[in-house]
Amino acid sequence: METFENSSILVVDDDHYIVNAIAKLLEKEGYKIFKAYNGIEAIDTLMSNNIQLILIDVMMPKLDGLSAMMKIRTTKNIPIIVLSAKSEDSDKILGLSMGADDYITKPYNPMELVARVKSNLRRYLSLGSADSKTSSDIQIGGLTLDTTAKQLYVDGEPVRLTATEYKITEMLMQNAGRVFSAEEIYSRIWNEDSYSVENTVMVHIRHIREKIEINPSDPRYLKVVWGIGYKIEKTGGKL
Amino acid sequence: MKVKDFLWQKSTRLVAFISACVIFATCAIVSLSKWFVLDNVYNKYEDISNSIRYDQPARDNLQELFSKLWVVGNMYYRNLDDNGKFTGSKELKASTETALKNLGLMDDNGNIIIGVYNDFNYYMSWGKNSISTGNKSYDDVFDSSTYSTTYTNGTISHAHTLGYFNYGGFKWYTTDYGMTYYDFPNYINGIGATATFDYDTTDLEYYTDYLGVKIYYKKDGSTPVPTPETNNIDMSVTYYNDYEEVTEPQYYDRYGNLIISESAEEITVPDIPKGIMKNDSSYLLYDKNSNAWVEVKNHNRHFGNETPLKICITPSDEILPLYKQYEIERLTAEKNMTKTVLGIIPFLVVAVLLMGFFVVTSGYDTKKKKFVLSATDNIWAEVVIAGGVLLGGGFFMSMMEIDAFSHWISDYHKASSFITPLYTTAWTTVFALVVLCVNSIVKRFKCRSFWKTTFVKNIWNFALKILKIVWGKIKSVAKTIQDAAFIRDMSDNSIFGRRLLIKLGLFMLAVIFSASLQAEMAVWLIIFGAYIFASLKDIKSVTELSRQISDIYGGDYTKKDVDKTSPTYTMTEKLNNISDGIQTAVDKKLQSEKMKIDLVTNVSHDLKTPLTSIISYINLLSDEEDLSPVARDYVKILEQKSARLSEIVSDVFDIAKATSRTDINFEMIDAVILTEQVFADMSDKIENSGRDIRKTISAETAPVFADGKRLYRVLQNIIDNALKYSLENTRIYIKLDIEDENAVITVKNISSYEIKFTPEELTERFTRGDEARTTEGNGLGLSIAKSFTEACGGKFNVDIDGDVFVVTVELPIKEKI
Repeated sequence: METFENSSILVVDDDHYIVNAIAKLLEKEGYKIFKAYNGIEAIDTLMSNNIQLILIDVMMPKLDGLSAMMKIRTTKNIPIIVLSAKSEDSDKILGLSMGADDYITKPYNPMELVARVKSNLRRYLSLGSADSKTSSDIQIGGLTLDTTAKQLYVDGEPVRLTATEYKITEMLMQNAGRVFSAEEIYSRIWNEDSYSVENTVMVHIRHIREKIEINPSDPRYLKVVWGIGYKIEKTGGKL
Repeated sequence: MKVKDFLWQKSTRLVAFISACVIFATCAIVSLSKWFVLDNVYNKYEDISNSIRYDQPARDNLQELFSKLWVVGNMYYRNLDDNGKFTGSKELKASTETALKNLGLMDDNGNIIIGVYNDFNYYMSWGKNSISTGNKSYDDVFDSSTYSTTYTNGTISHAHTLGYFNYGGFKWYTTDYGMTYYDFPNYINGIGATATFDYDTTDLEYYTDYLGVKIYYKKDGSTPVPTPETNNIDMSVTYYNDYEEVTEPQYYDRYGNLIISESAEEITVPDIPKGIMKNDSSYLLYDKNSNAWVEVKNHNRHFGNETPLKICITPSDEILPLYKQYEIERLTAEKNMTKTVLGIIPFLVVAVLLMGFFVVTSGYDTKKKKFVLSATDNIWAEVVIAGGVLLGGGFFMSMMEIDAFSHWISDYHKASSFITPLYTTAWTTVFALVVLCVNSIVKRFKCRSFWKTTFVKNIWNFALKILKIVWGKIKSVAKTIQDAAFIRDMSDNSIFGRRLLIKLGLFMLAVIFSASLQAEMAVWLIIFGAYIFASLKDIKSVTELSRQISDIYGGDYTKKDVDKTSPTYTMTEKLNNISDGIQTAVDKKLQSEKMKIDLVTNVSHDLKTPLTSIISYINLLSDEEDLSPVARDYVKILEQKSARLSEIVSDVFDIAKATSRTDINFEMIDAVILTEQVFADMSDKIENSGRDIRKTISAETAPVFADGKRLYRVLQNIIDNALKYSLENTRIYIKLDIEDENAVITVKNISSYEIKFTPEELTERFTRGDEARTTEGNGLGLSIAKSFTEACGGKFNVDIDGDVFVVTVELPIKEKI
């Protein structure tokens, strides 16, 4: 798996210690780190350097993260990961809709942070934003489903799915945004009616999650709609 | 104690009541049967005496016999001496004999004939001379046992065996100059009166009085005209008692009553002769027959009151023995009756005592230990009293009239045996009813509610109620009038008041015009138009006012401008003020909410930022290679604890947010599916826990309106809690039911620790099942579950029964929104 070492990452946070900690963490992975401590500095650094990814805090002096991000988005297409202590759904939605590619809440899990950075870089650098895709491909965020080859890619990496897992993933991706109940999934995939199939379906869902999600307990793609059923988000990774 | 309980029981007094009725009925039957025997005797006895008393021929005979004896005694025996010789003059003897012969009481030989009366024995005497049936003495004829009727000194002593006859109308009188007049109301041989004369009547003038008796007199007054009696004067005879002063004739009837009749004028009365009208003891009499005035002198009257005449009549031997026999029967029957009545008196006393017992104990409720009224005791007391009195009266009436009634009944129904049961039933019923009436009244007194149940009281209450209503009406009218003073209060803004005056003025104008000008139609139309116009304007203002109120109700607090002349101006202004107030309050409330949320967010941020550094550096530290093994252990601990701290911080803010109800996303979800999902999600954990979980979901679907994510946390937490704190190798019961429009999720487990907390303490933050806090967990699980459940509009409840720990989550079912 490519790790895209030597890529430059800009870390922006008004807390120097956090910036340093993240820098250390990513440097160990081989990335080149640029640091900035407010929005204005971030834009300046971005202009004068070749940077492939930005990790940016929201609440900062001078120019806050979201405003800086909006400015960056006018010129740059690079992945931007928002790193914020604000953990509300509304905050996440706001951040993602203003141009962020990912949203990580503080205090973050260092492993997850690294995984997400890698995932975003991979998608940006290897797949591009609009890579050569056939019409039989379904793409949702970092997920790409090649329906002819019956192959699922996560951020460009092929993932091995069992036949049942593939059928479930295909159905959910083809109807992205739609919520399927366990019964419905069961009757469609297994082609038989049954009751109390929640467990069976859930087991498969969990397995799929483990294969496609960075943090299976906080999934980006395959979600449980509690009290209703299961779905894959239409927006793709953006909650 | 036992006996007392028994006596006060309802059944006891019922038995007493029924026994009393039975005893009474039995007494009635017995006495009635005796009474009918007596009645029978009475009837036979009466038949006999009726044969004399009410039998007309018998009565006529008796009357005739008495008349004959009276006339013979007074006319003939009066004038006999002790030797039976007639003592009067030759003229009187002849006149007496002629009269007696005319009456058929003397034969041609001068012997007295009384005639044959088989039913009676008689005796008559005057002095020593007497006449009787078979020449019996008085003592022989007189029956001491009151069967005889005896006439002495003008009065009669009756035996009830004989019928009544007229004896008081018999009278006779003599005049000074020798005429004796006899008046006997019961005719003998068709003659009711006769007269004897002690002088020669040959060639004398006479007139015939109204009883047909010839009265002889001389016109010169030496034998004046007698009248039988002043009060027997015929109407055709007119007389003056004080002729000197009287100018008009006065007319009297035969009874002496003055008559002022028009018919008097029709009679031509000649001039009153002078010279013979001076004497006080005489008076003038106009004789119609002779058409002349005659003077009448006073005379002596005799009614036989002090005469020695004695008459005795006794029923004859043909009737008397039968009569006596029945009397004996009657006496025996009466004695029997008395005996029977005396015999039943103890029983009646018992019946009355039983009834008394019934009345005394009646209404006692052994359970409530007091007297209670029954439904019938609500009948108006007056009705009950009247009913009791009427029934009681009727009872005695029927006792009195039993004989007439039974005769009447037996006339129609030949069998008189029919009467005994009829009377018995009727009397017993009446007796029972009277007792019940008395009982009801007594019971009311016992319960002190007599007054309450009277008609008077009810009427009184009703009247009070009416009075109250009327008073209320008066008060409300008074209030309206008082309120009408608002016209004054509104003074300058009193537009409604002014409008009212204008409308009234218009109305008055209309009345005046229509009355005086007769131009009704046109004037009415104009005035009516003006009235409608004025009203419409008012209605428009009021509508606008109402719209403003609706707006405020709907949350629109914009001020409204109204013309100063509008009748609703002041009201609108006040409403505007109210709107302002509400707007300010709402704004303040929103502001404070926002501040609360901001606070949570800020504190959260301020906590998370250092925490982020701590976690980051611990992570970096753990990657350092040249750490001593001890330092590495320390870092491990730091790693774990910082992760815990991160969790706690996140949980605390979750609770804070849930409590302030921010960030809750409501949607329609199915609690059944949710539960299944949570189970599936936690299946690994459950399997690893080694606990046996028994899941019962009785409902097929349980739609609730809630935040799915939060509810997921709720279920996850309570199941987690159960797994964590339950005794090893025990079962955990999880149930989902629908109860009273609620989806109820219950988790039941046996605690591995002794639970030393109250349910309230357990749901408080940071309380943990193990006091030592050695296990994993931060003590926020149940607290979060509770906050989240309540944020979703549900109820969260913890019950502890010994070591059994029960968590209940209730969520209201919503079919559709």
